[in-house]
Amino acid sequence: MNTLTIAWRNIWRHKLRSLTVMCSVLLGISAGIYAAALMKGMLEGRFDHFIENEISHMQVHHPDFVREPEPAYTVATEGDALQALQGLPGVSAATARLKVHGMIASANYTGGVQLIGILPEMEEATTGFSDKLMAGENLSSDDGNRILIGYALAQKMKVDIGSRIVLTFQDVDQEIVSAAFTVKGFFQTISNRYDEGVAFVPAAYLGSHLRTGRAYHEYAILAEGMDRVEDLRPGVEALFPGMRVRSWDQLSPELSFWLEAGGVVSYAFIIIILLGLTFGLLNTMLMTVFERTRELGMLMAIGMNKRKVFALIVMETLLLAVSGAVLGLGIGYGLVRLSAKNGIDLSALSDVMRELGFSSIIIPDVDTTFLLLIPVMVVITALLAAVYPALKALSLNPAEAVRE
Amino acid sequence: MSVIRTVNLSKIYNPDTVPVYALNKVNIHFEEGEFTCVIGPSGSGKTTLLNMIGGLDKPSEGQVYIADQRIDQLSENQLIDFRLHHIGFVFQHFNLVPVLSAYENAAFIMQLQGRSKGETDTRVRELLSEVGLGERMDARPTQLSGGQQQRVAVARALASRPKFILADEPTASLDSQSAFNLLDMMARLNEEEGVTFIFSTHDQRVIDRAKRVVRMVDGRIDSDVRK
Repeated sequence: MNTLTIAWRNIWRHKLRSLTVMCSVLLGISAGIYAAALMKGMLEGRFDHFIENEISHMQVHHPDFVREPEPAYTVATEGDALQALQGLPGVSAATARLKVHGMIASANYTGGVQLIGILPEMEEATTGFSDKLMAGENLSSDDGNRILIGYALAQKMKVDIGSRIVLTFQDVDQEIVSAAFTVKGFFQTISNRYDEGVAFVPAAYLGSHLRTGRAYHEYAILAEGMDRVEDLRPGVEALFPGMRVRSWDQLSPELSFWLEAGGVVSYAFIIIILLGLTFGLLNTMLMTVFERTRELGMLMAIGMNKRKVFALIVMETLLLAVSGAVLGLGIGYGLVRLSAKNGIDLSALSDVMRELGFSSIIIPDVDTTFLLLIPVMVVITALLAAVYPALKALSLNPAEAVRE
Repeated sequence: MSVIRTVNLSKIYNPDTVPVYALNKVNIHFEEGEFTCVIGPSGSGKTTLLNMIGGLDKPSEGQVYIADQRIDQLSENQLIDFRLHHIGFVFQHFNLVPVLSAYENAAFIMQLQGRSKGETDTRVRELLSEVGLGERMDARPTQLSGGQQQRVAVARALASRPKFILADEPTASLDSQSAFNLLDMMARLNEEEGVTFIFSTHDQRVIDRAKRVVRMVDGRIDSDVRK
């Protein structure tokens, strides 16, 4: 009869009490896993949106454009830089853009906007832009003064497809240029702020007004995978000598911060839950020790040494916590997998979610490392919860305890 | 041959304020194979004496020798080990582990001693048969009567092959018939196998069966009669 068997039988002496503790561990762990997976899903949705729709994995700019985005600061290239970029190993797609800040105006609205001149086919390959098109048609390279605006901006401007709007901006010589555009379509991303602040036009047409020639302000590169991003840097830097090459985490440090913070918050969730469970376990085990004073005194009287008594109490606490945690892990992970199949549809809250910059479909996801660390954290929790009751058991005087 | 010997054994509570002598310079020895009961009114010191010679409590003054080994100077861990290998205990409240069967309870002490599975099995089966529980080995304490539980406790105490068995009011929680049967069994073990028993008791039935009666009053030995 080893200590483990006795401990296992002991925890079933009070079935209801033990089941209550196990259920609280189970619920705590599964809820913690699900909450962490939900948060990771939301952050990853935002991350994917940023990479796929806004910044890609890597961008190249004129060094002065980074400090002050003047139209004159275009990227200097030799030959067809785009073709060379697409030929680099590890590059999935690449495109070039013109970018200028200006004023957009309709009969009912005037406001600031960032006008982006795109190469429609390459933009599609890099950002899959057509997926975001919610009305009208996508731009094509033959288009002249056609424009795509965000649906949120269209509502503000009270314009429809086919409406004409006027854009005013500075050219490379800082001359004010005005041009009229016809709305060809509306796009909608997960971020209202983005949709209200950006408009797309064909690069060739915008370039003719900016007088940038065949030069661009920005080259965006999509890598074949996150792990390939840094491998691309030497090749890209060689193609654009003297230009500023930045990867996604340099372009958007806050994105990198949020991803890291999301991981930390997941652990914080679990730690807070486990901290609560520690007190539940401690309370249960303390009650057990008090109820079994006579029995523990008898065990010490007949010759069970302190190490074994300590181990018995610790083992019982571990069994209570670990049984609940294993079930909680299974249920939590199962729920995450189940929800990830079709995603959690928060369309009913889509306005709020877009306002916050999150997708209304959340695909919960959980790190394997996180899942593997939970049992370790549970064991540490159980050990912490067991120490005081076990020490209490050891402090019993066998001579007095057997007479309780 | 003396199994237990005490020399000027005292237990003093509140030594610095109002000293209370639970034991006052007690000199006594117990021989191998004795069937002794220690009697006396409540507070006379009989339980304290049993605790001292059982290594469950330490004296304020004096010495305790078990088979010529002085035990009052042993550390707590050494005492636990000493109790495991040399002393058998039977308590008033049966004190079995409720999650273990009769067999497992009796075997538990041998497992603590690190005896082999085979040796433990043979000895435990033999002992449980001897105390009349050969057919109830798998029963949990809650499935046994008070008398049967106390028999398991005796089997457990004997399992470790101790030098003597200390029994603190072993019949106090038993009905007359169970008490009679238990005493009968212990007397037989004493007669036939020479097991040394020392009881503390108020029970006249136990006193009547004892071969030696030690009477304590106010922490001293008032009388010591061998029948």
